[in-house]
Amino acid sequence: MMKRHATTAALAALFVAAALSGCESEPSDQRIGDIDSVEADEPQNHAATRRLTIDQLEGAIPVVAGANAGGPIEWRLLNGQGVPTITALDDDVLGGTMGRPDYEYVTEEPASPDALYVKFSDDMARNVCHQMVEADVMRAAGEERVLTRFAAIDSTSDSQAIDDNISYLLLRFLGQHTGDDDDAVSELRVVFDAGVNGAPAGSTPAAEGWRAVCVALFTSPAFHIY
Amino acid sequence: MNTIKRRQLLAALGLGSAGLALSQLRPSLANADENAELPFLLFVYFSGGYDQLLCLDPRDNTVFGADSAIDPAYATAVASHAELTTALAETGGSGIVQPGNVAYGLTMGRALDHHQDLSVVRGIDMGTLTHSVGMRHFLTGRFPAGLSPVGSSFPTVMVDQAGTGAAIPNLAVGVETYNSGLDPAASGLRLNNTADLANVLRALDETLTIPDATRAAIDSYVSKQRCHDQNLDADQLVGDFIASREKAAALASGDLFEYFNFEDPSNPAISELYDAFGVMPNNASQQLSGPVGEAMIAAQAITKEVSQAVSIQLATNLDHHDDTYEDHAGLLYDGFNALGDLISVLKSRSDANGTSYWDRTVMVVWSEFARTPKLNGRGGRDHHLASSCLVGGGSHIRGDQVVGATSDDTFGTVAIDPATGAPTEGGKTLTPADVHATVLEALGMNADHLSNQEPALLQTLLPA
Repeated sequence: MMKRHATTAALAALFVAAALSGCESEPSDQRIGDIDSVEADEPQNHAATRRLTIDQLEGAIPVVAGANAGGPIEWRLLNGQGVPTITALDDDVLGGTMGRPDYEYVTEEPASPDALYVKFSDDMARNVCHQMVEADVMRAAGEERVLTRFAAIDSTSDSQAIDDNISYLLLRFLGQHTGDDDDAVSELRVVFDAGVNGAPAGSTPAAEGWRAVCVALFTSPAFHIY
Repeated sequence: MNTIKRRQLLAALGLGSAGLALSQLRPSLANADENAELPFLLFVYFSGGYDQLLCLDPRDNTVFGADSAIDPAYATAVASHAELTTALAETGGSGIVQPGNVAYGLTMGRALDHHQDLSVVRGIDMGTLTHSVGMRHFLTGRFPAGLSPVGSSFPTVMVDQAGTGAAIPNLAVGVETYNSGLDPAASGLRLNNTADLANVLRALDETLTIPDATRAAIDSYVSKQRCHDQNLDADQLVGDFIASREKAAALASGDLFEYFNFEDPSNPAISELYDAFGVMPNNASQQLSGPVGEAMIAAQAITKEVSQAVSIQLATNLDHHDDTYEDHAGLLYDGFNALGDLISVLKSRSDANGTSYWDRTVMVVWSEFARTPKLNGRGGRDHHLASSCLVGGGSHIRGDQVVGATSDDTFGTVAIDPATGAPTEGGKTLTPADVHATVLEALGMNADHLSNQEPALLQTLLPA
């Protein structure tokens, strides 16, 4: 009994410490559920984490990506004529391939972020982010943009605006509140700068920077795990 | 029975972490010794209900005829197929081809190049004359509930026990696949054709590429676990997500697609496959859309160690109730020829330890049921309960044997002694569950999911 109480107290202290420190310390190798740290019958004092289901992913995309002239932005594939009209996550396109159960042949939906899911997530991110950039470029002056609400899509001159927009995107994509000096902002700024510096000839460097940030956020585990 | 899963074995050896790391690699890059323990499953479906008189359960047409309870009618069956007509003449009209201990029908083609590795299970009671029910019965080993399958399909069961480390552990091309309560990673990746494979094995829209330096910055950002991620990682899903990125990058890189880009005969490896499967470059598209294409997918998936289990469909639309029956023999012949070429390829290629892939493979060839012993009034054959299947595998299944039988009076099932495979009074009537349990036993795996079916092990098929 003493051991159990001691373990529980240690875990509680670990959580409090993590909360107070803002996770400044290195991640511990000790995990909740490790048999060395918790007795087998000890209830886990955290909610189970999950990967988005295909339905949730399909529903989340337009919420985050907003709309373009054609309506809510969805992950769309090209049809035979090269027009992006096929909804990628339909059951008969990729929904079934990605494991959405039909409850006739497949009753269990994969819950792990396996390679297939991650691969298609990257396809989705590049596709949807391309649409988001295009939509912002096409928006009329004064119309509220989605991806670049607080920064110019064709300029990199206002550094503060870029950081502000990154903070906004962290909130929009991942639900994370951040400040200017937050590491997450500076790390995404590196991604933005890489996109700008690597912009192909003929493209708009700032737009390429935002495309890169968008892909990074859409492929972040924090977007898919909750 | 040996019921140890690969990952359980690794865990028991204290190699759980190593096993996880290996599973993130492309299997062909993983340790050769570990790969050597993993068997492959080749699950081959002939869709529509095959006429086993023409393949796995023939009758001598010089003995049986229109006046018999069983009418092989081979002259009618092969009339529109020149090669098979010649083959029938070469048998003296019997229609029986017997390269070893087992008598086969005319359509077995190049599959019989490997007759010593193949055994036939006859007299399997499919319990239904409905296509989807029979198909799902054989896929799961359990009789469906209405039209709905009960339990997981056989390849899913096999992969769940063998391990899910391969890039696409359970590949199902043109064959249904089910997962009921097993590791979701064992679920089949169901594809209709090679075009679907292209979606999985390369980036979907190659016009939306990201420059390498930008990609590196994105990867660096995504791969770092921050406070938020650590708090989400209690179940290690964040860690799994990050770890899966390497494997996902391998899928999207197109490297694996090279193995399956059969439209590119300029690739020497693909050209070699063309030779092995008799594909003519000027007629490739048509051939690749049929059994040859499916067999080539299986050959590559196994020998490149992309998949642990591969399901393919080597004949379609075999449901010949009328004069379309004249196409039946040709479709079977094409399917079994492709199967023979596939086995040849598996035999000709070896893994890193020098073991041929055929030696590591167990194969089941099946259909949802058979066809009636006599032609109907429309010149075709209707559905028949007593079916048969072909099993094989280099080191897993003993070849050149027959288990079970059908009767000469009704072509019906005959009870057998599972220990000998021979008919016996009061014996057991075979069902798909018996085949499943036997194959799983041959692989050193358990068939606990079939316990309520009371399956019998067909002992003569198991290695001594």
